[in-house]
Amino acid sequence: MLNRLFASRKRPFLAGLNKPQHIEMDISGSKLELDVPAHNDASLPEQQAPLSHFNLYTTEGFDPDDGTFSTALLMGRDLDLYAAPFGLSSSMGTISVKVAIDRVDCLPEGMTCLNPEHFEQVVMRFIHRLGPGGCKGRIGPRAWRLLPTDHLPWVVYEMHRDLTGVTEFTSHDFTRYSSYAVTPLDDRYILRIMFLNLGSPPVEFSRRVRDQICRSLKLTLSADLTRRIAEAKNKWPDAKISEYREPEQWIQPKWRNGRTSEGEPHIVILEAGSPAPEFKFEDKSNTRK
Amino acid sequence: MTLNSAEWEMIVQKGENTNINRSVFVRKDAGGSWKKLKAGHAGNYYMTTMLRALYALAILPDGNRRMMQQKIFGPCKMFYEILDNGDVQVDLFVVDEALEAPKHKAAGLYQAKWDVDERAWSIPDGSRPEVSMELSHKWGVMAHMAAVAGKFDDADTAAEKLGTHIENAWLNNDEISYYRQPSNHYSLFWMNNEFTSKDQLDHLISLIQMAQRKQESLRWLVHGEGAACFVKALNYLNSNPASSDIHVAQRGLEKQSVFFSNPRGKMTGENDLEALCKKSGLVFQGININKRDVIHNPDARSEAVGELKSIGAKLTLGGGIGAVGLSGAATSLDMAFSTQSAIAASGFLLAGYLVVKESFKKNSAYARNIQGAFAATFGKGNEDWAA
Repeated sequence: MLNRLFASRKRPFLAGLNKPQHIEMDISGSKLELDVPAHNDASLPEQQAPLSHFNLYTTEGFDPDDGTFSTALLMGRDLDLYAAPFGLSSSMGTISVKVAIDRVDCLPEGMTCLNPEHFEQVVMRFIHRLGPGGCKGRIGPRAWRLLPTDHLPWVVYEMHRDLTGVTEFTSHDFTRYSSYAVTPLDDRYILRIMFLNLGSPPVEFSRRVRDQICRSLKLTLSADLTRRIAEAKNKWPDAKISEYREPEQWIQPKWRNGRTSEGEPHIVILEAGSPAPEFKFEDKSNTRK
Repeated sequence: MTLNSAEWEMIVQKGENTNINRSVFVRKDAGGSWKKLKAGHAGNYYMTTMLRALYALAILPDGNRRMMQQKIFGPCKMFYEILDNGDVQVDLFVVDEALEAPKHKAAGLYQAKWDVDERAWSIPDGSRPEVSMELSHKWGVMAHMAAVAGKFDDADTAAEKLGTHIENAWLNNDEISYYRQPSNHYSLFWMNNEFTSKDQLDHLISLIQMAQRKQESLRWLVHGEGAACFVKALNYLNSNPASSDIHVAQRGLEKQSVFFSNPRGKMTGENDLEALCKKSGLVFQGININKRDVIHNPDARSEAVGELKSIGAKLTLGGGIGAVGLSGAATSLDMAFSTQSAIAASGFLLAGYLVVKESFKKNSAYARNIQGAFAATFGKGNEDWAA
């Protein structure tokens, strides 16, 4: 209550931040745990209540099926922030926290997300979708870092808006970034926690919430997955994911909405942007034998 | 009505210069702060802006007397009454940087698309406003979907939240995933929180008419303050029919249906909206009223007075706000705010009649009741005022 009483723009109040819900999900034998405040947008229901069980190896829940990435949502809730005591104000912004699994259909034969180098390429390929690939204009990865883990890498990064051409910045321009925490879950599956900021939550605050939730992340691997990680490690003993990365200098495409009634596609590209990075790998296991 | 000089203090005097035809009064406890501001505003942008806002009240044309009115001047929003003698009494003075903060997306018509990667409805960065809707883009075989946005922090928030409103209003649960496809979009009519803009009203009228002319099916989700603009558009169509034959004039409009979500503004009660749709020839699909939406929706108002009283009691604020009016609310809030350390520490309190506010949206029951009037927090500008 005191937190709310002393809420301010710099230190907004987020209900349940100190008493988050503990969430456990069984994902085909692996257990994901995380602590997230309860959904608190009064005007809309929770997008997806946390699933207690999810079968990776089903096609159900995944879409689209276009041969690139196919995504299933395991949890999606909005955390609204308040900057005034007693709820006198309306919310000043929202942090959407979502848990998703991406099936990497575009991964070439011979590559696996269980190889950290391959995983990094998958992440970069996905990042391209949020930028030039999906005409979404985002720039990243920013603030790339690895969470300390025993087995599989967890990478956390931010995607920011392209502010090229914006001459007068407002604080609003900076608050709407999004963050992701990503880890491999199987050869062709990655687990992705999203933190999407809407409105104007102060950057320091939204980062603090993200980091708090990231610290609570715990993934207990199934016996099968543990065995196959060991195999991958054996096969590619030197494979590592980058500890640092700079944002990609991709060119964003110029585009407009298509006139579908006249037979145009939904998006018409006027000037192409940078193409998606190619997957690259050499089968080192052969050279070592 | 005359002013009790023990409660009110004059800050601007009639005849101060030739243009000033009204005296402006603020509450006594705020008087000292305003005097300080008047004396020391030179060279301080924020103080000058606030003072100019107050002076804008001193040169008002004549208007309704004895009624609470509102004027927006730059980032300042003032609730005032013109007294019988023509003087102005300022009941509430709100500084809201959001009122003039440049927003990334201008008012206009956008395509809000389903973002398959982020699992959300959104306007992709780099989108530009469209002139017209892609009416042939239908959800299923049914109709094109369009939303008229009420008040939101920005267009992107509106896109995300109204996509869900559309799903709730128009789709069954088992249909939702079918329409969450990367190529799917709805038209978002974003007014950038300027709900009385003539240009945007004209644009909205033309969108309704265009769909009518093309005899295209269209489903509207009209949200919050957007309802008032939609009502105006329908009233315009009724009073300016395309033909003197009402059947000809309304031909095609029956293909447009409307769902209202938490409508706000004049004539947005359920019966009014239903009657207006019927009169105009549109199909009234339904309405979803948040029972907490107190002052802005007449249907919710009566239900809420009881709730407000109990909230008031809890906060020891006193006064049924909905019944008493803003002036009473201001007094009550003054008490609430004075317990807040941020204000006490500022040492420059415009005594409850200054509320610095950065963003509106709708939320708590209490906030709805005094929506747009009070809020929040002391933004960065406050540091300058305290100097």
